[in-house]
Amino acid sequence: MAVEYQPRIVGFLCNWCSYAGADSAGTARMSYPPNIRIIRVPCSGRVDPLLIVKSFQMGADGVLIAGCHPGDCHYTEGNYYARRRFALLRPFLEYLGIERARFQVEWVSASEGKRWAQVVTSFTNQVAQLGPRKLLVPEATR
Amino acid sequence: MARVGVFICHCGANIGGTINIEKVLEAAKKMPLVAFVDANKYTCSEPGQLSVRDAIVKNRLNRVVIGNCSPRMHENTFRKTVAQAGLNPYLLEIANLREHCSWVHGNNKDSATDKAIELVRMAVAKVGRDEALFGKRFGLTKRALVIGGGVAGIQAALDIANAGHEVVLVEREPTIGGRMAQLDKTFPTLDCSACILTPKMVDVAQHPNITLLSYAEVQEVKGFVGNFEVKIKQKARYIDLKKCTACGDCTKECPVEVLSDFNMGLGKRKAVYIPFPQAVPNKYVIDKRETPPCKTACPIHMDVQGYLALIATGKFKEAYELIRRTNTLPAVLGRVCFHPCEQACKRGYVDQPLSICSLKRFASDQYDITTLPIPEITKTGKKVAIVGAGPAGLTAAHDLALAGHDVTIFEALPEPGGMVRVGIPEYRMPRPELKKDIDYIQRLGVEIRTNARVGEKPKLSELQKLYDAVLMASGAHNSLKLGVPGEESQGVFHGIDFLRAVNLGQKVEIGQRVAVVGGGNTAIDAARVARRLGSTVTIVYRRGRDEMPANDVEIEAAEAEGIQIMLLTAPTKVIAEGGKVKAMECVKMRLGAPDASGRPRPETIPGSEFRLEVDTVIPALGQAPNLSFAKDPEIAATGRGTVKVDEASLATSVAGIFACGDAVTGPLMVVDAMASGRKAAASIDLYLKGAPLPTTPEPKAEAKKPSDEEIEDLKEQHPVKPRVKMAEMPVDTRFKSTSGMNFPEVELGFTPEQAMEEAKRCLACGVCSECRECVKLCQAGAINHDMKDEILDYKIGSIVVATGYKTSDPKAYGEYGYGRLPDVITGLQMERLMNASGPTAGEVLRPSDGKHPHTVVFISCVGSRDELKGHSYCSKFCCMYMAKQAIMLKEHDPHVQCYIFYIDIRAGGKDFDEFSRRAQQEYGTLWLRGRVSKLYQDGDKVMVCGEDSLIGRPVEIAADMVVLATAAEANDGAAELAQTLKVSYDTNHFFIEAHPKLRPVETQTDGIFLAGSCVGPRDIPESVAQGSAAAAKVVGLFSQEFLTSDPMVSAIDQAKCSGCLMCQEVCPFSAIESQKLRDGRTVSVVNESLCKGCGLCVAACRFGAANLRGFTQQQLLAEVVSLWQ
Amino acid sequence: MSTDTYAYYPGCTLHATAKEYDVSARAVCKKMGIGLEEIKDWTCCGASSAHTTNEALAIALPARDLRTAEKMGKPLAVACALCFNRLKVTEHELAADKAKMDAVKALVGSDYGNTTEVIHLLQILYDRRDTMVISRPLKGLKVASYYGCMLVRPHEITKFDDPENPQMMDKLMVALGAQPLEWDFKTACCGASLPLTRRDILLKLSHRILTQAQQLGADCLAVACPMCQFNLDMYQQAINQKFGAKINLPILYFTQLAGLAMGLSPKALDLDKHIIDPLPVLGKKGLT
Repeated sequence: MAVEYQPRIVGFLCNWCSYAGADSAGTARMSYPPNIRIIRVPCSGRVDPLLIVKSFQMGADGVLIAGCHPGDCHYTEGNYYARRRFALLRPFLEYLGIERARFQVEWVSASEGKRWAQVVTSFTNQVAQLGPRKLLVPEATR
Repeated sequence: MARVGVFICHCGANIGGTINIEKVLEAAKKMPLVAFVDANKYTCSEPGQLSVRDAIVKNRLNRVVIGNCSPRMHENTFRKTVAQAGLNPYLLEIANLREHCSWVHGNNKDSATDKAIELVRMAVAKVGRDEALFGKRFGLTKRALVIGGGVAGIQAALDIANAGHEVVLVEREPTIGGRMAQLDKTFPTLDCSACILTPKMVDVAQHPNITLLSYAEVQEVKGFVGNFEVKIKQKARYIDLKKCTACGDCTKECPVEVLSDFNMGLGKRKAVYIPFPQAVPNKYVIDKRETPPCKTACPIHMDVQGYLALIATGKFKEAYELIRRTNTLPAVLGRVCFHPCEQACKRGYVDQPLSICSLKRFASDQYDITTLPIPEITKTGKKVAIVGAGPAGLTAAHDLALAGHDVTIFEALPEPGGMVRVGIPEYRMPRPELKKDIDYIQRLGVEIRTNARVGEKPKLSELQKLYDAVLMASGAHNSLKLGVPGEESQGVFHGIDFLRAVNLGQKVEIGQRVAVVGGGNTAIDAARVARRLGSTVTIVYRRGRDEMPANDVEIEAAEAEGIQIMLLTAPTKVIAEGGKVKAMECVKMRLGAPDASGRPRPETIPGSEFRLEVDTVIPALGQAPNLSFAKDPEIAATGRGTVKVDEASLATSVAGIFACGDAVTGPLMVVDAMASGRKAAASIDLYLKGAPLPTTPEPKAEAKKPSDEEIEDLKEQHPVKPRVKMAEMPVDTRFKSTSGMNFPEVELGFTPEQAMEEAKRCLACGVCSECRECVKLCQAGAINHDMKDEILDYKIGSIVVATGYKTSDPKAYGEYGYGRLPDVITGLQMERLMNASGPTAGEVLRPSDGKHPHTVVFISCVGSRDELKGHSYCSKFCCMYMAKQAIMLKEHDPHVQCYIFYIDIRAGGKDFDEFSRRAQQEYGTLWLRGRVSKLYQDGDKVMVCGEDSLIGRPVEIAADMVVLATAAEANDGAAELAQTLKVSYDTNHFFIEAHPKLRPVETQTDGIFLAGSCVGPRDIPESVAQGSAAAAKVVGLFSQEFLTSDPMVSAIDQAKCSGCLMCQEVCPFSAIESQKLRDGRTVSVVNESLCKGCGLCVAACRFGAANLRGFTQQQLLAEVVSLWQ
Repeated sequence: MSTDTYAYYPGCTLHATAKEYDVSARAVCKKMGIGLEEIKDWTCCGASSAHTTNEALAIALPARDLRTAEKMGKPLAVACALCFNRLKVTEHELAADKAKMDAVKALVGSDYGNTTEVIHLLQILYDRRDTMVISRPLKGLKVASYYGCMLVRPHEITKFDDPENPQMMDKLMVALGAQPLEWDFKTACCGASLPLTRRDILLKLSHRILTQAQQLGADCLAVACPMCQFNLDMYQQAINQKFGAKINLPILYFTQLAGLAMGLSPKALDLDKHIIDPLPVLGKKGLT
């Protein structure tokens, strides 16, 4: 079952580190599960919790945020804000009935294509293990 | 109404080969707003772009989505394309179908296609909400900053400067030239590195457009392309560049020698040095590190390392003069100081601390103080009275006299010296020695009136009238009482009173069996004196041995002299018969919980009372000041019975009267009293000049304990070498009195040989010892030991980073025994050995015995191409320089035979392969393909055990010398610099170029460029080429009068803004200002020239007032939603 | 480190040619209050032969002993370096390969979980070196610590000290009051099981080791491997003959030196069971 089932994953990647990291994964022809849909943002600190909740509301099975390693933020401190903000968001998601394992924050630098591939693979499997998510709101009202 | 055109790129087979483009086009047609779809083989090609332009015009498209490679690749290309078609360049979105789809899902064509369709849909959803954006024009500063003065940085700086722009070149080292300056010859041409580099270095120094900041580091970079604001830290060089003539006189007498970093640790250099003869700037520099812990810990901050270094080099006279600079009583402190310096001494963490105190004594023993000259003193006519001729008073007198004031000291006792004279027994502090130091102070014009007890005659009030200022340095001479019954009986002498009597040569009748009560130094002194007076002595102390406040040496000495120490015992009463002491009743104690002082509180064990048969009891429980004289005028006192003073100025409650020493602090160390006296003198001097007194006390500096790693390193560098033992008088002879009640000094002092040997143990923590010998020698007066680091501010338009590389530490390869086997060196060290300005003046001699090596083995890839122990990458130039060194060695000495163990010969480059072959064919170098498994010393040979993988046999070579081709690594601090500059760097800390092929010298950050080995190992030609390339980029940038800002910045909808100013708090660039509207509301406004478009404010805004153009909330939501449509 | 009783696996040699290792190990541990419970009915680890002939056997044999220890619920103390190596390899391979694990379970028992902690005696003493009671410090005894190959290689499996320049035995020697030598052959091969097949190689390799130790003025070698001890001790005369050398170096187990320092008698440590008699040297240093 878990093998057959294809989860839908939304990824928000910062332009400077992680998006570039995903690019270098491509340049190096590393393969990883195709489930993720990447949305490019300037900085992980730009990611408004609303976007994450919306993704889950729409029916995402997992949301992955990736930004520069702490200390390496192109905007000096954006990823620090992100880190704190998502630490606060997590319990809220759990309160909404979204399992911890469906939401992940990772630091991937521009040179870490390999790491990006690993992150996506393990996160996809992790989410696939959980199976489909019961929706927050009835189909009709989406 | 938006009309979106979707263009899918096959990118040859890169995308088309995996993704079914037809299906994507089909799906795209059905997407909302899409008015046109098309595909191209190569959309980025000229025809590709043309077809896009035509389609836009023909179909009146006003939005464009292109599905191709990463936007980081061609977004800008296509912005231009659509602009040429008359559209605003920001009405374009890129769907990343290559890097994020076809290339990573090649194994899964169907889902790759599905994914591609969704990626396009997301882009369409986003582009539908794109708005036309317009960048703002802004000016730029046409001044470039080049970071790193290696050959790449030099080239960049020169090219930019020659193009007529100002350049600031920052180099961390004292000279520019970088690694290339360390090299001997360069491959493949074999021309001399220095010969081709130094002219360029000189050009830099002389170029009117170049400001060269050597020995400086970039500290902070703010702003953006064209308008960077850079803070540069100019490290103190301690040498005035304008005055220094590079004559080198300063090095002559410098006593400190450290390994020469320029020569890669081969050979030594002085603490004041010039890296190499052709250095640029051609100026000396003083290598001064941390303030040595000994100096910090010393209350009067003596130049300890300085006089140790001078003693070590036999300059005893100079040492004494240096001591004099801060210490007015060297003979005294050389004997009785409790030397906090030694507790702080780093050598103490290796084996034992230096005998700093005794070395000071040695220096003063060597010097005939009567020959010490009196400096020029210009009188001020002011008069100062000092109460008390103890160390505090004497020090103050000394300083005040030098400041030109007339000083009179009033001493109650018949002899000057205070506690040093009457508290410390002669066997520790011989009188003549004390007298020497005091005599000199008198020679400075200080008058000392003994037997003049202030309070009786003269009165304090009289002094107040007759003198311009009064200093109370009356010490703490009152014994604390025991507080047990019978204390008043005959045969009880209080410690201080007892010592005073003895020290003043009065006859003191003590009995046969003496009990001394207390565990401090006074108790020990009293006990040892009583012992010398022929009694059997028992020290009674209520806590344990570890808690005794006296120093261990003293306690041990006491025991050595047969004094018994009775611990955990306290007296309960003195038993007297007929008023005479008969015995002392004591009780046993046990240690309880720690008390206020942090020491365990002693508790009595009930019923453990016992009787100690003694006829004399000497309580030595400490002292308190006697302020009875300070009644008229009334001087405010503290609860502890000390004088109440202002912390910063030591001024008392009465104007013009100051106080210092034990009278203020309670009983402390001699050196503390001196520090206090010095401080008081400074305030009094200010007071007499009518200058304002200091109001904030200077912070107490603490010598910090080195970290465990540092201690480990120290232990590695310095073999254990215990301190030199000073000769002591044999115990039995100690008790023969010299005269009356005076006894000979126990410690006999160092011999010159001992002193020099001991002083040589100093680790020279500060490198420069501040002995100031160089100052004496420099005729140009260029040396200033008090120079401070400076922060320089520059407005900069563009930055070139050229921080270069360092070579890796081969210690990770234990089997090569680097650091253990003397004749195993690194390639860079070999360069220095071959170099005429190197440690052996260009003659290749092996470190162990200075012989010419005849068999030399090179080992390649030490740290490179080895993920297990080093780096995965190839260091690129090693193969070539090994070949070069092999050739040069043969040139130096035809008997040399070289072997090179290699993995592959990397000789790609113009004339490189020919060169490496010359090494084999003309110079008989043997290239062995394989690794070396172990090196070991066999007699004077280094045995090399390796494998020749071409014949599949182990080989063993008896070598005279082995050269390790260590890896090239990113320089120290590269990552930190990258973070300061906000450019990305890889896991090896090399900087990441904007594109490895197409934008090799650019970064993702506008206006910041890269050159040379900071991007990855580069040889000289490449580095120079990149230097020029980066320069070209800078010049190109500077050729514009205006730059256009990226319009993708934040905007705030004032209608929605609540004025909470959250956005202001999170903005890293303080680009958000608050503004008061007419209706009184405060709202946020974005300063677009400062905004960098990170969008932190958007995520922070609770009202959705803040939005980021190009990444609006609506657009990102649309992308999410589109996934489920 | 925390536990003070271990399951003890002496291995075959310690009951034969390396009896003195067993004796001294037990004596020292007794002195230090470390309990060694010899595991019941243990079998050979397969030594140098099993893994060259039959892979399954090479894994199953150690696994059987590991299982016994696992049942005892105690970490397994091992004295012989080769046994240690084999046990570690087994532990490692079973952890890495589920199929192998299943195969082995079928052979040694389905309840086996591969959870036994294998620890070498040298490690145990090293960890406790600061708490040792030294009554007869080995003053002035120059010791060349010889670790051999089996303890440190392959490092990613044995994870024992630094494979190129190990320090444990040296630091232990310091704790015992002896003076360890900084030398190059700590982990060089002594010739292992070659004496039977290629004696020439054995002599060459061992000669190199002994020569440098001698040149650096060693009084003796300290070893942790019965095979090394055997080769270096047994073949010294042969080496002297072949290379015209004059080497006379006692080859002692670190446990014997530890015992000596803790005041045990040479007899109690079987110091008389060596071919090169250590007693004269030790006697000179007043250590007997």
